[in-house]
Amino acid sequence: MRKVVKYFIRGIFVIGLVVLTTLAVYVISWAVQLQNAERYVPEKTLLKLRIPSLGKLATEWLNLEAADIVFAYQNLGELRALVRDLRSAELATNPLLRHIAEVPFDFALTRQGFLLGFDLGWRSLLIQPINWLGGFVPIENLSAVQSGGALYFRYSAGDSHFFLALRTNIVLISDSEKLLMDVLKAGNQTPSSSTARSRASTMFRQSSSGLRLLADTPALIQLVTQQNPDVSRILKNFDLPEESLLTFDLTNQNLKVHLATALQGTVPQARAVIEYPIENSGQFSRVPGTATTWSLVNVAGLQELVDLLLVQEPSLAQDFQRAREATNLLLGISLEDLLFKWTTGELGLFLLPGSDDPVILVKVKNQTDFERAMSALEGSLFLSQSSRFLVDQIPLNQLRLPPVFEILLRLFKVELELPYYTVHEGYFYLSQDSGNIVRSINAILEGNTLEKNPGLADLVQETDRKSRLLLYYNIRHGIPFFMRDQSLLSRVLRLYQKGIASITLQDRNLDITIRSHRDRDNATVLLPGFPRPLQGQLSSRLHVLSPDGARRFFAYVADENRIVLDGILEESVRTLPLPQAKYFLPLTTNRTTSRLYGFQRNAQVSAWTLDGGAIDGFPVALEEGPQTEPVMLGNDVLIVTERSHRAVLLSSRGNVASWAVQFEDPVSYPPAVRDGRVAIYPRRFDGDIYLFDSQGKEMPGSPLATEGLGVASPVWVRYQGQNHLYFLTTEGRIFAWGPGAESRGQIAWFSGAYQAPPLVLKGRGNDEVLAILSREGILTLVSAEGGLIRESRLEVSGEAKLAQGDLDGDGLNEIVVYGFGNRIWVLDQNLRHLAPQGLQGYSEPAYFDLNGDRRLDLITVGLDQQIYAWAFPRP
Amino acid sequence: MKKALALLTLLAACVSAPTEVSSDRIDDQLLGLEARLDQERWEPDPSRLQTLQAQARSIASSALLNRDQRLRTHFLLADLAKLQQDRQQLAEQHRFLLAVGNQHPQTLIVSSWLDAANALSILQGAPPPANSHPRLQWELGLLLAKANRHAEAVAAYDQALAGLPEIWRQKGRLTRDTSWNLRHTNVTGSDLNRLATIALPTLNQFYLAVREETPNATALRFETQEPLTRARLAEWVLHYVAEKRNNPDLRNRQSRRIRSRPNPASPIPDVSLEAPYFDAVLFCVERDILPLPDGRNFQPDTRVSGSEAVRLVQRVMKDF
Repeated sequence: MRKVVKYFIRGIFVIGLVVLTTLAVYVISWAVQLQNAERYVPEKTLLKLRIPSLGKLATEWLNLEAADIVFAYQNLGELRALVRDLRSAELATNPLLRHIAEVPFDFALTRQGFLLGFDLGWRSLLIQPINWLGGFVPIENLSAVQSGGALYFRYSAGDSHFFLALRTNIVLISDSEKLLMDVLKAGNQTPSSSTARSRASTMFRQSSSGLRLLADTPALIQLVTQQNPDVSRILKNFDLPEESLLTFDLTNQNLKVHLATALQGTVPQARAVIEYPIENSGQFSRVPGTATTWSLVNVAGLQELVDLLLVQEPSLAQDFQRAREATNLLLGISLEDLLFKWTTGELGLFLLPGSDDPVILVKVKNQTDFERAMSALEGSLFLSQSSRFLVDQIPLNQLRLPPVFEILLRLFKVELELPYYTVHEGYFYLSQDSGNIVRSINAILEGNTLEKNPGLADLVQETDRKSRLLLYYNIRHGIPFFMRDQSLLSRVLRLYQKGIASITLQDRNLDITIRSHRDRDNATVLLPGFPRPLQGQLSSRLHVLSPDGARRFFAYVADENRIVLDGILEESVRTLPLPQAKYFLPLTTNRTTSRLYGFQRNAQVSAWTLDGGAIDGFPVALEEGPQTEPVMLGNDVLIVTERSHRAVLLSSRGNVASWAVQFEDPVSYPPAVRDGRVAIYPRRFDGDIYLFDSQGKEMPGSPLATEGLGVASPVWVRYQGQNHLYFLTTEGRIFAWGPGAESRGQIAWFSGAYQAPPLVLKGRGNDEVLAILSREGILTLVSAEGGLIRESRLEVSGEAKLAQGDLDGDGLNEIVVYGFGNRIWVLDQNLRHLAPQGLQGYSEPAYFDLNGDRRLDLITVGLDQQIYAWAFPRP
Repeated sequence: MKKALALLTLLAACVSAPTEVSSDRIDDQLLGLEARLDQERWEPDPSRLQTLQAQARSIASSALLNRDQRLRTHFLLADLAKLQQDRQQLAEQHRFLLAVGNQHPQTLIVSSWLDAANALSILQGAPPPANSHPRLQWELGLLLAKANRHAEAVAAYDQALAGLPEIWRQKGRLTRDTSWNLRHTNVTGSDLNRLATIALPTLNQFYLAVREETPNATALRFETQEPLTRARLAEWVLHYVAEKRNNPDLRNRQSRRIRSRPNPASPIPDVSLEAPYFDAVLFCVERDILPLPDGRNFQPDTRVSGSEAVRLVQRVMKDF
């Protein structure tokens, strides 16, 4: 027995040793074969993208608002579902999964198809056996293919095929079999990476935390300069490589886009500019902190810059020659002495709030030369002694500019007529508006400069003081030229309100950087394409309907005689006749609308499919029309009639069934329906609330006696897991009844007069909460127990009404106040305004995700009969 | 000759001496004048307008006005000229404003004042950002209201009032609310149209306006100079509905219901059960035709504006 045990232990030991040795061999062989994903990236691509982490992509970048904009792009519609799944993936919450998903990958787009390359690192230890198992992997629609000595897998999903290859630590996925074969072949032949042909390609291979894109330089330049022919013209003097590297580092608040490329001059003037030694600019501490825009040109010396400009502008050369001659003739001084000797080439131009007149800022290199130039001007007709002023202790001179200045200013598209100037701390200030010069110098004296502006400190600190070109912008004041087109890049850049774009040039390496920042205020935006006109006068609520998720249209009654179905994406308008229209009710379940009901004043009810097709059993002629807006009860429509005050149920087939009850008074507000229970309130002082089940049978405890006059029908509120009934009176008293119709009495009394129907909101806890609005504008959130949660005063009239929708995507509905004028207030459940200035709009809003950013947009009609659609920021 | 030279030298010295001016002070002065004009415009006093005009002229003569200050000064003078109905002065200020720029909101407003035939198209054609200027929106609202486009007028007024000083919200409220009341009405050319323009009509004016629209209206005998009140309006509503529905029972149905209770009392404290308009008031309140302003009381003697009356008349005629 002991021998058996001894051999058994030895056997186990030997087996363990063999296993360990095998594992060690496996690991060593794996380590030796480790590869760089770069070797499989195709040489000729339309686009190469490097993403440093799959996990970060899923948990951070895909959740950015910039991603919302990118994936809202219509050509990326197929990817939206994938993005939605990734966003809800468990990666964000599971640390182990996050660790596993820290995988960098490349994406390459070629004319043949796309290629994805993942570097799995140590994770590939676990999946390498799949390669050995080959075709034995039991996955449906996955088959192994052996071709040309290479093993890869084919995965079929419907008509689409994807091809996958495993190479030690690298996983390659493509939609093109040929592309995969080509890169496998190229990868095998060239063990090290391909050519290091440009700076951009080299940088692409270095590690970085940002998202990197190797882009076609000419296409990129065209994209950026299409609105600015002057820049395009200047760039003709330079040679640019085929590829440039774009790096993106972004959060919802900050964005940094960096472009790296090489630059060579094709003409001597361009080379002189490239090689010109640049000094740190002092304008950062001389531009007022309140400036709305600032452009800095520090490309080279003024002489070198002019020479370069003249290469491409023969007409300018003639002007310039004339100016040169005129300067000599009129001022008795050469152009060089007048202009070039005292300047460094550092030119700035900025705008201040409330003024269209820019301030031009020039660094004075040599005070003696400057004074000589100015004295030449003063001794001429251009500057008279009478044009001197002292404003706020700042000396100002007024002068008529010599022609040469006009030529230079034309480059900035600035026209000046008798401008003012002064010199302060070695800088020359020139502006048409004397007040702007005074404000600028006062700002410097008070230390209120751009670099000391707390809102810009980070942006300014990170900007290279040796930037050759720089533009500080704030899109609230004006959109810079490179953001004016509708490209995805521009749309993403426009998310961030203010930024600094700078260009540096060192050792023929050109770097363009855009750093921008986003303020959270006022981020509510009117969607592109809005406002758009209605097809007539609005006579009902505005609905946004979608029969199948893809098609969508605005639906409403126009001019009280027709239903309009106005396509949102496609230009199609259909109308359905509805003479003497009274109510319009789309039947919507799970956000999908299946039919439309139209009610006429002559008591006829019509029904259509969304394509305008007739529905069997309709139209139906009722004995009398509805008193108030009908409501859906399951698939039927519940109507309370206007003369006999009866409840009538209209089935989906057009059958009419009258409930047994007849009310003494008219029912002015739609019945409250929840979970098959119906509460109807014929409005009168000290009246009754009637409770029914879905079959029209009066429930035990009904009717419920009320006190005072209700503002509208009662509302159902979820409290302690059950439906309770709440009733608000015109004088602010709230009464409640439990699920068995037992009275809970008056649970609250808030001061003020009440007219708007209360709103039931899903609160943060399990219980729902009530929002009530007094005629005086006090909006109050009330707990299901009747306690005050919080209140806020709004600027509204007594006619304001309440509505709700989750507009910021946080899972809690926002409160929308409308109907008191052409303005809408939107507040979250902390009663904080989401749009502090209010939004334009009047009608009861509709909610729909029109821009595909996974958050509802608010759609309303203004009193100008135009449709407005507003998108809201995330919380 | 020596004296002449000395005089010339003195003159030259005066001209070339630095001029002490404060840009901020001009802004402060302009702000003060604008605020005073905003107070004055609602009930203008000719002598005070002249004082303002003199002060504005003195600012306009300053050599160092920047573009914004020039626009504001000449617009202020144009605004004063309009209040004084001085068309020549208005045209002169318009020329100054055109010299500063023809697309500025102030220039466009004065252009619309001078060209009444094209006023609406001038303001509606304003390019951004001039088209969002609060004063321009206010002027647009006035023109739209004049063209009976009241809904659009409210849109313009609301945009204007969000940007204009508080005094405009107080004093301009009536103008804005008139259009608000008339936004869904179509009162062009009828007696109701005339009623809409009256701030606080009398019963006689109300009767004259609605007699064509109301069946058997003579039965109300409203030919008096008494003011039109909420109670009187409620009476008209009940009368109209009872006649239209041919249901005389409606006239005392509410009081019969209340009197049938054990301890009959009016549910509205300021309208007694014995009041002649009790049934009318209860009918209007329970049918949500007229609200309870403070949640409890009806305020029966509160006067009703012409536009409120027109709004209610048209609503009742549509609903019943």
